[in-house]
Amino acid sequence: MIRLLRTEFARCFTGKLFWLVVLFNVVLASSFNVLTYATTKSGDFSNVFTDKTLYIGLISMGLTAAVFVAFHAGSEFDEGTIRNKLIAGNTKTGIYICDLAVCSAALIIIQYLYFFIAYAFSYILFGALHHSFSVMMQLQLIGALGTVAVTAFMLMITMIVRSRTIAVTVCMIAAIVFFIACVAIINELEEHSMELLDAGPEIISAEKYAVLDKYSYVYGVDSENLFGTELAVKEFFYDSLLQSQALRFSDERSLPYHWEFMVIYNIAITLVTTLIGVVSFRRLDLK
Amino acid sequence: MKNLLKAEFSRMFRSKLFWIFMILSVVFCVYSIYDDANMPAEFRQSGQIYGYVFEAALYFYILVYIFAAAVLDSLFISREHADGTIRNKIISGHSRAFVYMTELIVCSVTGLIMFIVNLAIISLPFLKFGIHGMDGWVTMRRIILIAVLIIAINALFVLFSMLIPSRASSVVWSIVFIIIMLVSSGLIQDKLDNDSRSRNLRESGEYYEHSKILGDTERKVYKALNYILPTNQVIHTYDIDDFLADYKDTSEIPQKKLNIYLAGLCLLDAVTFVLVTAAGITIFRKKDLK
Repeated sequence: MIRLLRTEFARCFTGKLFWLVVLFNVVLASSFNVLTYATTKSGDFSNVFTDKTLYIGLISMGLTAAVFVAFHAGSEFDEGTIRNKLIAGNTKTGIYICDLAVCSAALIIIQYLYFFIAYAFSYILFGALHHSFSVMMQLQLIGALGTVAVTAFMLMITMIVRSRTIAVTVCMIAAIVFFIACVAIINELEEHSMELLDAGPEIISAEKYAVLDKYSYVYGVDSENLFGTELAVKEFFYDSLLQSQALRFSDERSLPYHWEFMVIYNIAITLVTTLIGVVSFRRLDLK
Repeated sequence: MKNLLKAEFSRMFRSKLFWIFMILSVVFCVYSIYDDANMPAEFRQSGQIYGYVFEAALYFYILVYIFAAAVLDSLFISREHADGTIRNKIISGHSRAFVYMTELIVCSVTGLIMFIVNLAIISLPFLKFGIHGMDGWVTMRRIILIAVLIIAINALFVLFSMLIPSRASSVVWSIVFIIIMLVSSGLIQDKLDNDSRSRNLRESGEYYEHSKILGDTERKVYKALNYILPTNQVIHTYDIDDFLADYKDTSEIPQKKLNIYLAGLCLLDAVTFVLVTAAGITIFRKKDLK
């Protein structure tokens, strides 16, 4: 398996795909700050804080992972490489884990590259940022776990579908649907917390009200419009979707409320999707 | 060219891809109606509320369609590259321009057919509620603009699909392109809204952020892009009359004038269509088909 890993890492870092995705992210990371700089009047630079641009890389990681994983792993089915690897003595589980390791490593490198380039441009062009550097690094670490979770999910789809074209289509649509869902859920939960704030002690205990007041959200409290299973499911997606996590990172100045659950969900999603992916891949016939 | 068109239409309507997208779009429309029809009773005002549901359904349809078209056009056309069918068509005597135009016509007509089917579905509840409370002129303008946008957007995706032989790459570039266009449109609209809001605050003597006010040339450029870019027009199908009237009071503008503004917008889209198609045919003529 070590030889397979070495080969896969070499294939990844010497191939056009990784460097194209890197180039795209470098352009993305620099362009937001450069465009803001170009369209801001010279006396107003001190009023510009570009913290939000630091997390766009994480917000777009769903699409990046969809393209990278579908092309990197999906191409192996089209070219018959997986069959060759099996003939050479590797197991299906070993091949799957190798692909997961390589794709995760590549995407984490891309994530951090985006962050440091965006940080450099923000600092050079505009100076101070709201977040402290140590907080940003902690957020990026949580984001890295989210990147691995998204990679595991996309790899599961690619290995089940076994075609590069269908994998890239399904994965990209899934990424877009997740993004739209996370924006809708964030808006709905914001309205839900406003409703709780207005209702006050009628429907919420003093202790929970204090949490709501401090963090602008409290978990597990039903309101008139949102309650029970629907609330629980939406709160789960609020914490587990990488895009939701990234949007919350960009809004807050410290670690977001419930960040421990984000870490747990990221690890759980990685394990569950990898398990499903490995079991499906082992059972499916290679075309 | 007639034989080519017949063959392509037949291929489209027999393909699983078309029927999957048709079924998904019907499900989406039915869900849009069902979701809004389940609004709490205090938000309903007899038949009038369905007018708003209808407008929202049209708006969300075109927003979702631009992504669906990216995938459908890419997968439908790039299969021909993969199978070598395009090369065979050229060998059998069809010109490259005819081959390109055939794909464009088939994709555009398919888009229009899907729109008509879904329009019929979301119009069905009017049989129960009646159409009082609906402004016929606004609805007509909205429907015409959406139909024209479907054709213009298909021209863009056919350009990508005809020039990119790989199926997967074609899908990726089409989707990434439409996302970049939508984000750009959102940023342009944001700049114009902030400018308008800040100017109003300045005029009323209230506190405003000076940095948000655009210079004259800047504002003209952003406004021009706001009218020209198809994705900006897609975003504005919801407030179409305000958009056409440049956010002046529409009650003071006669319907005929709004229709003339709409005709101007459709002309812009026609120019976009012609330019994109001409560029596509020119590049396709020079492309080496492997």
